[in-house]
Amino acid sequence: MNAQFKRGIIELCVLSVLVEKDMYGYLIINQLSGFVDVNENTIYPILRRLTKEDYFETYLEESNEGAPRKYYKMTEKGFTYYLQLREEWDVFIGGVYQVINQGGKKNEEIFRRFKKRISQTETD
Amino acid sequence: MKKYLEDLRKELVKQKLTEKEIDEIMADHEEMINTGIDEGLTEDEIKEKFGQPSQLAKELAEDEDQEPAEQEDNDGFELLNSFDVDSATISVNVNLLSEDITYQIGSDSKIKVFYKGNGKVEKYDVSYEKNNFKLLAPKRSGYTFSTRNANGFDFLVELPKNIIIDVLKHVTLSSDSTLLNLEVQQLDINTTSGDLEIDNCKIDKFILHSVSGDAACEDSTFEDVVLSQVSGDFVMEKCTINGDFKGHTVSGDVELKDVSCDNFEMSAVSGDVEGENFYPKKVIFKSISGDLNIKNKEKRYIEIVKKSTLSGDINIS
Repeated sequence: MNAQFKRGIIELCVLSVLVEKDMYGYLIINQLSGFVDVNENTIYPILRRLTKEDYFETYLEESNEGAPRKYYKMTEKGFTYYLQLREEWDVFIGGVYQVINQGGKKNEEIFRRFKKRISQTETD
Repeated sequence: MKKYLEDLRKELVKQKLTEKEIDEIMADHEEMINTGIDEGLTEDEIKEKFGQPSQLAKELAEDEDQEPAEQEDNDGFELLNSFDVDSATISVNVNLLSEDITYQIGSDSKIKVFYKGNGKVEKYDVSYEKNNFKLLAPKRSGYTFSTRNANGFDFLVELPKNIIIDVLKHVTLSSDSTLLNLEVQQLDINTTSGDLEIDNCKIDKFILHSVSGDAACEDSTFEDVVLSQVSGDFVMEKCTINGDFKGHTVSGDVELKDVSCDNFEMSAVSGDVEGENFYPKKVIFKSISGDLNIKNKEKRYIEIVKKSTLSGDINIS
């Protein structure tokens, strides 16, 4: 997949995870990599950049295991940005689905028509 | 795990990141990897989860490169466009997403548009035709996800001196807007979460629609004000309204200090109205739980025409 495009999607995923609750880095990575094929070296740079752009704040909190963990917290600016990105995504993916579902949603149906067309061109 | 961190440090040094950056990134990774180990991940699983250090360092370095340019531009605005104006009245039409904007009066008879920030500023539609000035954010066609350059701009619009603006229409999602020293016949502002500031302006009809943006007006005169807000707050100080103030608010508060007007007609759900030295001639107030409090020094007659609230209080003293 195009790297820039993937980054954008991961950015929206990171925002969506943090809109729900504050989380520390490892947990964010675990959450995302459980659903999407992506690893730390893609997520961390995004997390860091969004923090620098004041979409997230960070704070330290003690953990049961010992060393304190750095938690990421969404700011109001981050939330506005999330809404905007989310809307862009919905518009985009809505358009994509309209295009790919033009022939209907059933694969058998699409395949049947495709086969018919192929055999037509062959007999022509 | 030690190997991963060592490799990462080497790669970060190779990418010429600053020492401070490297220390921060290393601290974050030590924390994350330690958490992984605490959860029982093996060396291989960590490698798999964290990926290549070289790739990580490269992406981080790319992001760092973006920054210096941004900081350079922060110092001042650059001129984007300028138009000669020979008419005494113009109209202004602005549509933005999240770019902050200031409108002010210049020293000559030109409209000048300044900007600062990174990205493709030429994609903005900036024009002046038939006494109509336009500044429009690029239409979002398709989906680009080019988040780095998205909405990275601030604008400063200088309008000609001695000009009357017949209509200033301003639509925005989250831009903060400032209007300074303008004379406008009709000001029409529509904002979702952007804040608005009006200072020393003369405005005939002022219409404000705001969802969560706050608005502050100071040292200005108005003929009529129409306000519609959801959760944004509205503050007006040292202003004269020659006509009526009509407003509707859901949970946003309205604060009026040293303000006078003819009819004050307000409906609120839970928003409160606080007046201090606020002298309307007539008050029409409706609310569910919002209060209306007016505290005045001078005793002037305020006629209360209609008031209906469920649980809100009305105090005029």
